[in-house]
Amino acid sequence: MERYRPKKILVEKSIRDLPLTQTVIKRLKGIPVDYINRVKPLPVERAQDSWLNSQKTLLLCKNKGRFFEPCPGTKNYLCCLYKILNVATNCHLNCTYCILQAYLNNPFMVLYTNTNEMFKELDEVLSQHPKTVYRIGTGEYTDSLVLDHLTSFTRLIVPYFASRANAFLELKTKTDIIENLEGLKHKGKTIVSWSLNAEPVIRNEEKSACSLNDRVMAAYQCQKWGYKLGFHFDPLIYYPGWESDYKKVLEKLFRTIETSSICWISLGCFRFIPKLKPIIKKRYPESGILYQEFIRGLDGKMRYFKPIRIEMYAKMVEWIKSYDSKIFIYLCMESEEVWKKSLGVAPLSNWDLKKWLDDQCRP
Amino acid sequence: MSKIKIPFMCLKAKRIFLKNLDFKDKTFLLSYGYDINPLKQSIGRVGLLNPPVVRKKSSATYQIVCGYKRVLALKKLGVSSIRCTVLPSEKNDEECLLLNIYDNVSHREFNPIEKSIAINKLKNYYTEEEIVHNFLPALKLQPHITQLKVFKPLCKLEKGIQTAILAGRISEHTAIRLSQMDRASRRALGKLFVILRLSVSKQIEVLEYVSEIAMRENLSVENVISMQKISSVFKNEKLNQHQKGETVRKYLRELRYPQLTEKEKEFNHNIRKLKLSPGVSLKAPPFFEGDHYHISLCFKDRNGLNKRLQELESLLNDRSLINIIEG
Ligand code: SF4
Repeated sequence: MERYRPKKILVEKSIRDLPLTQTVIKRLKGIPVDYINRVKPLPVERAQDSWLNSQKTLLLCKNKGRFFEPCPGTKNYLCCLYKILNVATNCHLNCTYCILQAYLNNPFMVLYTNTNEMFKELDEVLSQHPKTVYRIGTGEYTDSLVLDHLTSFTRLIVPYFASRANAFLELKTKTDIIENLEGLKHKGKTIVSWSLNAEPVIRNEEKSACSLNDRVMAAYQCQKWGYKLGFHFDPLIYYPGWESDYKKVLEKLFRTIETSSICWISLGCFRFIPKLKPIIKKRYPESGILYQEFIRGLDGKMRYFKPIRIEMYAKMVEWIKSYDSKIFIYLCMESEEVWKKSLGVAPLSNWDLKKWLDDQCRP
Repeated sequence: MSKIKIPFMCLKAKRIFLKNLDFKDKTFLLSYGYDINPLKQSIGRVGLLNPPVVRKKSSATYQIVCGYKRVLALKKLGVSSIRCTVLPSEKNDEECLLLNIYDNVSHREFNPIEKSIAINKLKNYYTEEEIVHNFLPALKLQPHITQLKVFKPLCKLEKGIQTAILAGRISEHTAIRLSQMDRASRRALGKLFVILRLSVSKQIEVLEYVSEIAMRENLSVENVISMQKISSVFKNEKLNQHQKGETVRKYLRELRYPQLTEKEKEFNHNIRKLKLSPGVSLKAPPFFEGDHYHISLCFKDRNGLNKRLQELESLLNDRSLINIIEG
């Protein structure tokens, strides 16, 4: 996997002297730096036109809004009440199905370097409700580790979560950028997760991300460093022959990883907002992921027709459980009916599901 | 945008031999898909009312700026020379083009291909934004970029498709989608639309089914269209054009959504078996995604309501109803 290296750096003057800004600039010695007052957001369509080129520009700036926000969830489907820490936006891995393409109004790779303010905000939130358990992820608007070779951000955030009683951090990635995780005092409060997929899907739709083998080997390394691991089969992509390809992924995974270090495995069939379709068609005309049987779901997103989803989930659950029946599996954004038909149980509510996942985090 | 300034005094009228007009030079020609005969007849009866406008090209030849069709009609009538308005040779191409556009829009509406030709010629001098705001209204189009995007590619399509557009067989919106496809797919779909006569929305629907089935099955668009089941519909003389269109559309939908359409059939089969009376209907959740079914009852008094409710109650343990609800 090629690690991100920009062609140009834009730095907002207001954050030029912050430590993270300085670290990144030093590590990218030789790359031209422009100091600017601020970048204006573009209309989403304009941002899309220049998408691939503009990712080569790294924007270091201040997050003027909130770092911490609830996962947007989705109407009528069960959500685990995850929380998002917005530390960067965009991702150069350019998976064909990536939702960010339809979403961001700034095509640059953006890193918020005012981390002091982020920690302050986190302190406030976490101490306001000390009895509430927070599962917090940094992989919603970017890949959690895609910039870590430039930022070493994990060296700040992992120890921070180790010091907080009521919060767990999940780093979700498709990379093998894990070197900064070595030797950190994580106290079991950080879960390192990989999004996994069938080899043909990785080859065709996640071309710039790590190979399956490298992802599993990176997970193996993190397991050796004592981290709990998560695996996300999301998006599960349906195509003729998907069964044997996904089975092979599970074989590889369980040959390498001990089931006792797996905190959870999530399953989520491919879904997309309708406006992503023309973008994928235009940008990746050879991609075949849009042409299976999609229907408009209750939240307006396009999803596989329900029996297809149930079939995929039920088979995946059966295969995973055949390795270890105690592995905790959950579905991402699915209905009670789909839960019941594929897992045999369903949480009663979002809060119920949250509790199930919170319990999984606890030692 | 430059204004056309052609003081009346500068315009010379001159008798010019038709052999000195360059018919091959179509720099300013906007007309497309015309029938020259009515014009020929009218000129033959009352003569030429409005002289064509030309510009000197070389010492012996003139370029036709406005009135290409008129000159052509005169040529066909065997006329050897005509009076033309001659523009000063310093008038540039942009001014000549504007002159022709405004000369045309003052007395007729362009057809969709002509609008496209005008837009493409204007693109040599103006940005898309300028064309949208300054020219689309004159072409009787909404001043919006999407209109420009719809019309721009039309004049680059194959003749057969352009003819179908002018005949109203293919909509402009379908045409823009066709213009984004490869030539072979476009031709195959174009033929299909000419045969089937579908409404605009159904054309788009069919186009999507065909191209998505082709993508999924790794087939060409032509392969999909030439499937036995579709070509047999074309040949079926018992079906009228509307019925042919509907049959093909339904078949393509089944191919595109095999499981969904199977489920719909199963649902309808069970509904039929329930033998609901005409005042009662049962609806499945859209795409069978949610878990709420809807029943509607039609009644006019308490007695009628009571009858309907009894009917429903009697269905509660009916196998078909259980199949519908519990799958
Ligand atoms: S890794 Fe995640 S964030 Fe990055 S492109 Fe792929 S889907 Fe998008």
